[in-house]
Formats: sequence, C-alpha cells, structure tokens
Amino acid sequence: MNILVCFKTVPELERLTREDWVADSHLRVDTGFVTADLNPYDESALEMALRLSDQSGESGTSCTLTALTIGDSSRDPWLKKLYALKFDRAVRLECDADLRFSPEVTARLLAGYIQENRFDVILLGCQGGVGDNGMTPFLLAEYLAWPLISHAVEIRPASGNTLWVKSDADDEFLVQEAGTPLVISIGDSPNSYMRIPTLKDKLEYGRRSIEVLQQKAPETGNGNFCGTLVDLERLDYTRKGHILKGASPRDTAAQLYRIIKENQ
Amino acid sequence: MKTLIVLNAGTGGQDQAQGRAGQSREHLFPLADTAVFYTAPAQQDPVIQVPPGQTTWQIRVQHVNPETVLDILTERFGEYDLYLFPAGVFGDEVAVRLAARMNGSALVNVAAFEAGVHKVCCKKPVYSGYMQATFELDRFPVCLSLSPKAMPPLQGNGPATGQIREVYETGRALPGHILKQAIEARPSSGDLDAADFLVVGGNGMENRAGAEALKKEADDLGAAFGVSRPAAMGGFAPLHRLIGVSGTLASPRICIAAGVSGAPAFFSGIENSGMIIALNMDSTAPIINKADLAVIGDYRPVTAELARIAREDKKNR
Repeated sequence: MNILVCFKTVPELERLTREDWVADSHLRVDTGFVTADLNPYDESALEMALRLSDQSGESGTSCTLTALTIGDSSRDPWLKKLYALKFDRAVRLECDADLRFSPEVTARLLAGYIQENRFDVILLGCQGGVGDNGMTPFLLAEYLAWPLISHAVEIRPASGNTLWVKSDADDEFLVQEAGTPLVISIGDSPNSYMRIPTLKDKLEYGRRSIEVLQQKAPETGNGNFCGTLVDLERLDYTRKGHILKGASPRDTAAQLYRIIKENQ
Repeated sequence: MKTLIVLNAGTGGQDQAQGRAGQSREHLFPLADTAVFYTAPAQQDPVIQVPPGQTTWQIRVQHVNPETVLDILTERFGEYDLYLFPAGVFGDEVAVRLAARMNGSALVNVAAFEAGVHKVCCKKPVYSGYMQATFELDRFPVCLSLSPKAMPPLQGNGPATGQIREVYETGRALPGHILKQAIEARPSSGDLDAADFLVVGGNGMENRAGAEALKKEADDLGAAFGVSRPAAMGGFAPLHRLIGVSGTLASPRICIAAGVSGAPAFFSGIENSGMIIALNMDSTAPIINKADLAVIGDYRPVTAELARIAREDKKNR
C-alpha cells in the first residue's frame, strides 16, 4: 500500500507575548523568531502511518511511506527525521505563495503532486494552526475526486488493500472498513505522538537527500475560496489576574475555599 | 438572500438539531429555510419547530453520510445563496465540499457573520485563537459552518406553525468505498456541559495518576472534572473529558484551571466561566492573565488541601 502523509510545521504561538500579536499592513503577524513544531494533527497522521506500516509488516504485506510538506528549506530537518523513522521518500514542494488562508491553493498543489504519482491512501491532519482553515482535506478529496473519511482517530490494516478506520462523527464514532484510494483526515487521536528515531537510524537513514520540487501557485479562478482577508485583530481575554498569596498551601487553600463558597 | 440551514439529526443528534433549528431560525435567521437529514426506519421522525412563514424539509435517508447529503443538496436544494451548518465534523465537511462542487466559497467555525447584497462578511478565530480574522466572501453560494457562538443551542420549545415538507430517500445506500460500517456510541461528556463548578487539569498533571488524583479532589469539592487537549492526547484522561474547541464548551460559575497553560483553543472551553481560578507554576503562563484569581506554584498541595477542607466541611455540616 502506498501511503502519502502531508504535513506542515507551525510556529509555537504560545511563545509570542501579548505585544507580539500585531498585524502589519499586509495583515501578517511576525512569528519568524519562534521555533516551529509539527502541526499536532499532522504529527498524529505521521505516527499513524508508521503504525500502519508496522502492522502491515507483521501481517506479511508492505507499505511504502512518503512524507510531503510545502515550504522552504527550514522544513528539511523534519523531513530528515522522517527518513530516520524509515519513511521511504521525503518530498518538499517549494512555493513562495502566502498559504495561510489559501486552502484551495494548498489542496491544488497537493492534488497536482498526487496525480503525478501513485498513492493508495493520503493521510493529513484535519486542521493546522495559523490559518486554522480546516478545509484542505475536504478540498483535496474534491479535487482528486477520491472518497474521504474525516477526523479519523484510529486506523488499522484490514483485508487486502482495505483499511479499518474509526472516525469521529460528532455525537458518535463510525467504525468502517474502506477501500482505496482514500483520503483520510486525522482528528483528535490520543496517544499518537510521533516516535523518536534512534541515533543509529538517524545516521543510517537520515542523511538521504530530500526531493525538492519548485511549484508555482496554481490558478484558482474567480476569487479566493475562503474569501478575502480584510482585517486581523488580537483576541483579548484578559481578566483581573489577581495573584493570591498564602503563607502555606494550607493557608492558600483556606482562602480559596472561602472565595469559592462566596461565589457558588 | 435565500438561505438554507442544513442540520444532521443523524442517529442520535435529534435534540441538537431541533434546538439549533428552532433558535437559529426564530431569532437569528428569520428568513431561512431548513433541511434536516435523519435516518430511517429505526427512529421516529424528528419533531422540528417551524416558525411562521418558513419551510422545513425533513429528509429521511438510509445513512446520513456526507456523500449522500452532498448529492441531495446539489440535486434538490441548489438554488440557495447562503448555506449554514452547525460547526462540527459533519457541518464543516459538507459546507466545504458543497461550496467546492457549486463553485462557491466557504469558511468553517465562523463566530459571526453579516450577509449583505453582494457579499458575506465573516469573523472567525485564526492563529490558534490568538487573533480574529475578518473575511469578505463574494463568490456565491457561500457555505458557512457556524460555531456555537453564532448558532447557539435552543433553550425551550415552541409551537410548529410553519410548513413541514418531507423527502424520503430510501434508495441511497452507503458510498461505494465503504465496505462495512458500524456505529459506536461516544461516551457522554456527562456533567461537563451543565457543570456549575469545574476543575480542569492540564499537562501539569504529568500523567494518568496525576489526573486520577485531581479528579478525586474535584469529586470531594463537588466539581466536575475536565482536561485540556494536551492532557487528553497524552492519555491522562478519556477524550470525552476534553474541554476546549474540540471538546466541551463549558460555562460554570467557578472554574479552577490546574496546571493548564491557557492556550486559546483551551480557553474557548472555559471563557464563559463566571470566575476563573488559575493554579500554575509559571507566572508567565497565558492562563494567569486570563484568570480572575491566580496562585503561582505547584497546584498539588493546594488542591489536596482544598479537597481536605471540603471533606471536613461536609462532615461538620
């Protein structure tokens, strides 16, 4: 089974201070000075692909894993890490378009790559920070004309080229056996943090070169799919933030208990 | 602007569908029609309130799945300018894919919107909830999924005075790629939705044992117990205990946030609390400024003492 995992990295926004949340005249917020991490939903997608590969190996079938991201060379350490975790291919699409609020451009770039290569299953997170568009998996399925299972929380190999997928369906879970090709978006999946490669595997597999493909932002026709961004303002949830100090935990708790009782 | 609200009464969501249909149309979207999808034949028809002059389509299908709903919407309900869905797994997917199929535009998790003659202006959280963006959409139809802020659940019931039309779609089976399907019940968030007093634990709990200890203390205090996303993803507590954008949006009178950093996606789950008390080691954690009252330090000895005082208080009463 050929599996493609699409992932992105996101800046660690919690490291920005209150003063950093200022949009410039192009409605951009400077996040370049904080480190980036894997988008949590994409991290789950990467780990789920690795587990699928492990489980397929145990049952005597094989999986080919490809990881793909869009962006500049700052993403390469992540791709190298994925090589070290035994992904077979690591691909970066280099495109200088502002993709924050352009899920249709992202989905078309991904669809273009997928159509030129042969994959059975596409895994990607249901949403990513910064844009928080939550649309790319849906649009990718539409552009590929492939079926979609959204907000998967668990995936296992089933029989032949089919998958067992448990997914979130608002008030319930759906447990389905699905054929391929298939796009699967990953939702809240507990205990799916990505494994850490061994030093040996880093040295043995992590040095392969990354496939870099230069891409132009595809034409999206008549206007943006999610409209035009016209304003960006900081959301302010500030409350009093009064600091309660006690002589000891017992004293602090006694003060708190009184306050709780007065306000209940 | 011709508007259609699309609801999924599914296999277990009738109450939510009824609630959102009722309040949405009467108070927020007085000129909208409604399409309610639900399954047959195991269930009774949903009873939908219909305000005067409005129309509701009750659409009974074998399986409420996005492919079926998309086919029916494009085939039979393609004449609307604006389609509104409650945000969620179903609403987000159908809104976006419907817009793609109809060459329109879409946004999900919209917190507020205003429909003009030639454009729809929407506000929604971005940058993980640190910022709010305003978008103008002028490619019609416009398909929006609305957060509970924009489409709140209904309180109370009213008489059905409008028109109900029924559409029976018995011929549509599961989409071809689904070979087998079963429905698994989702554990209820139980006491979280209606909790008056809530204790929420975050990554500071460190592990499952930390979560179990805090839950026991919450029980002693007579409070419901929830967790932040990092704690749920780390397996400290079941997912149905999750507080935040992808879990329960609670509105207790008092909320104690213990070992929680206070990222916006979490804070959305407690922002409607009457009083927020933060217990955190880090004086620079975002939760401190978002709380009414904060204790800087290890939360454990404080919550242990709180629980002890509560137990004694109960004994002495």
